[in-house]
Amino acid sequence: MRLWKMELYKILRRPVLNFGLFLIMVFQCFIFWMDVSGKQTEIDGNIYKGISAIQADRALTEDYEGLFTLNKAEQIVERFGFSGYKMERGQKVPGIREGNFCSQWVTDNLTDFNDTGTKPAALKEGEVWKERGQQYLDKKIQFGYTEGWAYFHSLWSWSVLFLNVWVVLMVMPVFSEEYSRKTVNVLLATVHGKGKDIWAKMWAALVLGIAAFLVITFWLLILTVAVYGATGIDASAGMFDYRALAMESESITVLEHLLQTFGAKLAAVCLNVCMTLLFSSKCRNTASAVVLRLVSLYPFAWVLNEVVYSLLLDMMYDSGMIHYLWGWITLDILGIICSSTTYYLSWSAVIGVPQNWKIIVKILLFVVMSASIWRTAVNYRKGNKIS
Amino acid sequence: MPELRLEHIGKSYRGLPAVTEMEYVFQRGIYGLLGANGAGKTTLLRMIVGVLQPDFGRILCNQQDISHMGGEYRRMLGYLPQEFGYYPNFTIHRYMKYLAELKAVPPELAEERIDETLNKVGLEHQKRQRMKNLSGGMIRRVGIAQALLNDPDILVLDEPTAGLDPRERIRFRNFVSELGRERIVILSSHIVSDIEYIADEILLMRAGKQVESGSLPQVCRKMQGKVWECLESMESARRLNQQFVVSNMKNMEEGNVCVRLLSDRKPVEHAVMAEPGLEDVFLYHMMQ
Ligand SMILES: Nc1ncnc2c1ncn2[C@@H]1O[C@H](COP(=O)(O)OP(=O)(O)OP(=O)(O)O)[C@@H](O)[C@H]1O
Ligand SMILES: [Mg+2]
Repeated sequence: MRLWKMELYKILRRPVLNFGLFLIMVFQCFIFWMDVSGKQTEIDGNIYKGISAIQADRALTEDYEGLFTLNKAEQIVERFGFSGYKMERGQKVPGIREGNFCSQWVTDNLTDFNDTGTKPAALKEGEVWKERGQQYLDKKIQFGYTEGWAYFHSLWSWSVLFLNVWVVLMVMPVFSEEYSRKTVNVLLATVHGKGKDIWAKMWAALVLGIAAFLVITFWLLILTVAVYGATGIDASAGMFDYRALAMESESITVLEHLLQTFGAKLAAVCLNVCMTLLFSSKCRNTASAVVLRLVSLYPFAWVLNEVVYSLLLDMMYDSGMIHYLWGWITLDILGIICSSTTYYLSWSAVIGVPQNWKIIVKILLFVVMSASIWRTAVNYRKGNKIS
Repeated sequence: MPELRLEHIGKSYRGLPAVTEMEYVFQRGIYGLLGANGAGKTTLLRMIVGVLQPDFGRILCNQQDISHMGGEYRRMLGYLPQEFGYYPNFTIHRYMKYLAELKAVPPELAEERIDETLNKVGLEHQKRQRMKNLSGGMIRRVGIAQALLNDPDILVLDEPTAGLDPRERIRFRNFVSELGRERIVILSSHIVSDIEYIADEILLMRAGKQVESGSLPQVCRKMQGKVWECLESMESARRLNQQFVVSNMKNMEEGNVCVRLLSDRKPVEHAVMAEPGLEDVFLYHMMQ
C-alpha cells in the first residue's frame, strides 16, 4: 500500500509534465468556448446566438422527439427547408450553416448534401434515399437533441489521443530512469526490489493513467452538460455516429454508446500504460524510449490500417484470394489487430466492428496486457540494463 | 551467523570473462577486496548481492542457493554499489524512507533507524536537504547509510571510501570495524591503506581470478624477502626503476633517493631487506 504511493509520488514529481494534463483540460475549455461563441441557429425567422441558440435548438427538437419517421423528416423539411451554407455578401468561401439543428441534421444525414455541397431538391431522391435516409428509418432511430453528445464524442477522442502522449511521457521513466540514474543497483538488492516494488511501480503507473483519464473525461462531461444540458442522452447514438448505425443490433442509445466508448478508451489508456512500461523496462535512455514509443503509438497503427490493410485488401481483390478462407482470415486478423491498437481504441473504433470481433479484441487485449506486464517484470528483474 | 560460499562462480560479458572460477567462503569478519581497475571486483560483488546472476557456479548462503532464497536472502543484505544512484529531487530523509519501505523495515521502526544510520555517517543535520545539493562525498555517505538501514547480516560495500575526506574516512573505518564483529562485511577498494587498517581477511583479484587471500600478516609473510630498500643516486635510481617494480621513491638529502623495490633476488649489493606491506603485495601481484 505505502510502496505504490511512493512510486506514484516519484512519477508525479515532474512539475513541467504535470502541467500537460492541465493543458489538455484548458484545451477542452477553449474548444468549447470557441464552439459556443460561434453557434447560431435560425428558427421560423428568428436568429439565436451562443448559449441561447443551443437552448432554442433544444426546445425545438422536443417537437420531434421519439421514434424518427418519414413523416417527421418531411415536416422538418416543409417547415425549415434544407440547410445550406450562408454566403455573406462578397464572400467566396462558405460561411456558417443555415437553419437549425433539425434541418441541418436532416440535410446532412438523409441527403447527399455533404458530398455535393448543393442543397437537394427533394427528400426522397432514388438511390441517395435508399443508401442514406432509409437506414435511419430501418434502424428505428430515436430522434433527440444530440448536438452536445456528438461534440463530446469527438472531443473526447481527441483528448484521449493527447492524454496517451502525456501518459507515455509520464510513465516512460518508471523503469528506464532507474537504469539511467543507476538506482536500479540499490533497488534490486532490497527485499521488495525484485518483487513487490515492481508491481508497485506498475500499479502506480496504471493508477496514474486511469486517474488522468477519468479526470479529463469528467471534466469534458461537466463542460458538455453545462453547455448543452443532459437532454438527448436517451436518443439514438446513430444520430451522430455512423458506426453505431452500422451495428447489427438495433441502434443503441447515447448512454449505451457512452458506456461502450468509455470502455474502449479506458482500454486504450491501460494498454498504452502496459506497453510503455514494457518499452521502459527495455531501454536505458528515457528520451529515445519515448521517441520509439510515440512512433509505435500512433503512426504504426495508422500505417498498419491505412496502408498495409488497404494494400492487402486491394491485392486480394485483384488476385481473387479474398475468396479463399485464409484470404479473408488474414484480413480479419489484421483488422482485429488494428482495432486493438491504442490509436484505434482511442477512437473507439471497436464500436463499429462485428460482435464476435469484440470478444476476440477483449481476449487479445487481456493477453497482450498480461504478457507485457510479465515481460516487463522479467526484463527489469534480470538486471541486464545495469552498466 | 551467516556463511556465504562461492562455488566456482563465473561471469562473462559478451564472451569476455569478467570473473572466472571464484571459490571462497565468507564468515564473520571484514573482507577486503583488492584489485586493479577491471579486475572484476564490482562484477563479483554484484553477483554476491544477486543483482547479477552468475553464468557458472552458485552462491550459497547457509547451504542454500541464494537464487532460490529470493527476498529472504535480500533481507540480510546491505549493498552500496560502486555507482550509487539517487533521485535528485528527493531529500535525504525521503530517500531513506523510500529505501526503508523497500527493505521492509517496519514502519514504526523506520524513523529511528534512519536517524541512527544518518548519525553514523554524520549527516543527521542535512536530513532535509535535497540530494541534488549534496557533494559527492555526502552522496557516498548517504549510500553507506542506506546500506545499513536494515541492520544487515551481510554488508557489501563497493569502494565505500571513494570521495570521503580523511575525517569521514576514519569515522567510516571505526564503525565498520565495529560492524564486522558480528556480521560479514565485504568491501572493495583501491585505497590500500583502508583495507590494511580494517580488513581481517584480504582477497586479491587479478583478471577475474583470486590470486591471493589471507589475513594481513599471512599475506605479508609470503612477501618476506621480496621487498628491498636501497639508497641510490638519481641516475641509478632511474635505472632501477626500469629494471624492477619500484613501490616507492623518496628524495633524501644530498640528491640521493631511497628506492623501495620488489624483487625475488637481491637487486643490488647494498640493498637491505624491508618489511613488506600490503601495498607491496598488491603491486607484486599486479605486475606479474
Ligand atoms: N556491463 C558491462 N558490459 C560489458 N563489460 C563489462 C560490464 N561491466 C564490466 N565489464 C567488464 O568486466 C570486467 C570487470 O569489470 P568490473 O567492473 O567488475 O571491474 P572492477 O574490478 O570493479 O574495476 P574498477 O576498479 O574499475 O571498479 C572489465 O573488463 C569490464 O570491462
Ligand atoms: Mg568496480
